[in-house]
Amino acid sequence: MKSLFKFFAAGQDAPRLTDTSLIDEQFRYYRRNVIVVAILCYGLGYVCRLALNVVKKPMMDAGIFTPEEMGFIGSMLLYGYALGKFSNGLLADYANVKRFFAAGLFLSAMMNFGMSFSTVVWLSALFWVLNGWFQGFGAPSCAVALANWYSNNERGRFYGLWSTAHAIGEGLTYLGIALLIALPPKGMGLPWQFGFWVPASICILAAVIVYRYFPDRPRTLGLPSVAEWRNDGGEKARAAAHNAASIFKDQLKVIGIPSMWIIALASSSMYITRYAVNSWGNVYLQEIRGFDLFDANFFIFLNTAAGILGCVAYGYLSDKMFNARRPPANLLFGLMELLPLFVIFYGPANPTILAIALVVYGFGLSGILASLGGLFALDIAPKKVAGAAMGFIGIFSYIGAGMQDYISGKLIYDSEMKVVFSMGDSTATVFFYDYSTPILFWIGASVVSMVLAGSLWKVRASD
Amino acid sequence: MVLLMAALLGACGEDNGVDYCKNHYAYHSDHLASLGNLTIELSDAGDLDGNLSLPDVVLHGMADDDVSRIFAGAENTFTLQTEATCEVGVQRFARTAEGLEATFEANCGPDQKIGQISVALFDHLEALEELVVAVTTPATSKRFGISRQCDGPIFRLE
Repeated sequence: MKSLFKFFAAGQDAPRLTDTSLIDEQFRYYRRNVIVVAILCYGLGYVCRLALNVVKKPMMDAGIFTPEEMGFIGSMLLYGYALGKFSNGLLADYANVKRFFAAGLFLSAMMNFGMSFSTVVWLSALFWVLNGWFQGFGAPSCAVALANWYSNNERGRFYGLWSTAHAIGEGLTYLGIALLIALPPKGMGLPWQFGFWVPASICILAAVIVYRYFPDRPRTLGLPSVAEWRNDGGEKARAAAHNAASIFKDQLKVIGIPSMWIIALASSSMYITRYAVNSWGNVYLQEIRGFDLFDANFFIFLNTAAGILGCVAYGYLSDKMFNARRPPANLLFGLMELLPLFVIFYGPANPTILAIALVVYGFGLSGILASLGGLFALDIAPKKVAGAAMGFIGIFSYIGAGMQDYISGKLIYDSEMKVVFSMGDSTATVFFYDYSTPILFWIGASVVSMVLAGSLWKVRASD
Repeated sequence: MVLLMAALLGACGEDNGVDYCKNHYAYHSDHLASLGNLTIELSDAGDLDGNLSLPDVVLHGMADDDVSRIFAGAENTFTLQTEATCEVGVQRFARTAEGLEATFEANCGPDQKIGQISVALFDHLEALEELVVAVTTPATSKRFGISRQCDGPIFRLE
């Protein structure tokens, strides 16, 4: 155990290099590696997180799991991730992030391999809760690396670039995995197991890249801190002013702010809708709207792709149009998220209208999530405990998402009707579901989120 | 690694039966004349309407009495598993030179969930190789094929 901790612990500081041109050269090399590897491999890691969503329908059709069991297994990943958000954030601060991140990707790949061979609910749930926890190694590792290799006055830009990685990963999953599993001519018609094997192989490749190219802290390589190298005085002064005892006091203050609880509940409700569409949206489009697996996943991809623009647009519009007041922007983006849901679930089956609705929904959702999941909370929380505020909101959000997956699966399963054709010793079964009640749950969660966020209309940013 | 797994799977798996089922759409139009067609419609009010048409080739060699015996009893064709006791309507069938037309009706009452519809046609009609089925529920509709040669339903027919 001790040697395991030692393996993952951040390296010792190396003797400081003195050659300034060599230091410059090393910084340029490693900083490029950090941003490229963080975007590429965090994005690639996403395919191991979302694979189940794409193969859910083929697995249900094959009678391997019921929707309720699928929802239970899916919720395990989100609970594991919620736990990981808390525990891995603490661990990453002490870790050699290259080993930590690579291990997360590798272990996540193993869980995907395990899933492909499991037809037992509790075993799949175990694989998936562990996968959620291993998936949680990635974000804190990347955040720590960005903090170590990019100084305060440039980190926002690079953080923004890194934030696009999830869209790359989601796109790769919803399009790439669908391409493998969908029937010809749109897809390759491979068995659903490939929906786990290919992501697992991709994550192993990503783990190798991380292990080879992601650096530990600058000081372990004989380099000065990035703040020193870039002469970023502000960050140096802030770092000096930090004191562990006062930080902990301020962290506790976060849970004493009533607005923070309301934002946490609003974010949790919005995550219900977000993960409902991501987890069950493609199944709904296949089951109820009659789209094939490839098209259904392409529609879900559209909403995630539009999300990239939504994040950027929310920050810009709330700053410029509403003078950094988030509530009016929350209302605007909340309506852009809510209204298309009625078109998606109750509108015509016209593919163009559905695609437009999903793009507008994805755009609005990402905006409101950027606010409720981060920006609005950061405005209200004491600035030096931003991490604690994010963690607080994050845990609520993923618990909401996890509960959603099980409740949705249960509601869908309750509506199940089977047509069974007996042929001597064998049977062929076709399943039918009614999504009316789950849809009310998903839309209702968005309405609750908007009402809660709207109740903070007069709340102002602290310091 | 992916290619290796694909090769292994390919080497171990796909016999002709699986290939026939997977690529069924390529053969489907060639055997339309020998297929049975079944439609099942479920309404909000709890009504179930079933319509079956079978080409003569499926009944070939069967005496009228045998056909009557099969289609006179609902248990030989459709059985329902429901939360309520369904009122089963009269089943009608008629044999013609082209084949057989049959209808089946049931009413389970509004808000009564039908959990399962069991179709036993393949057990009683040995010459029935494939059935094209269209099921419409208040929430959705699906069209698929059921073939004796395939383990599961065939969703891509064309």
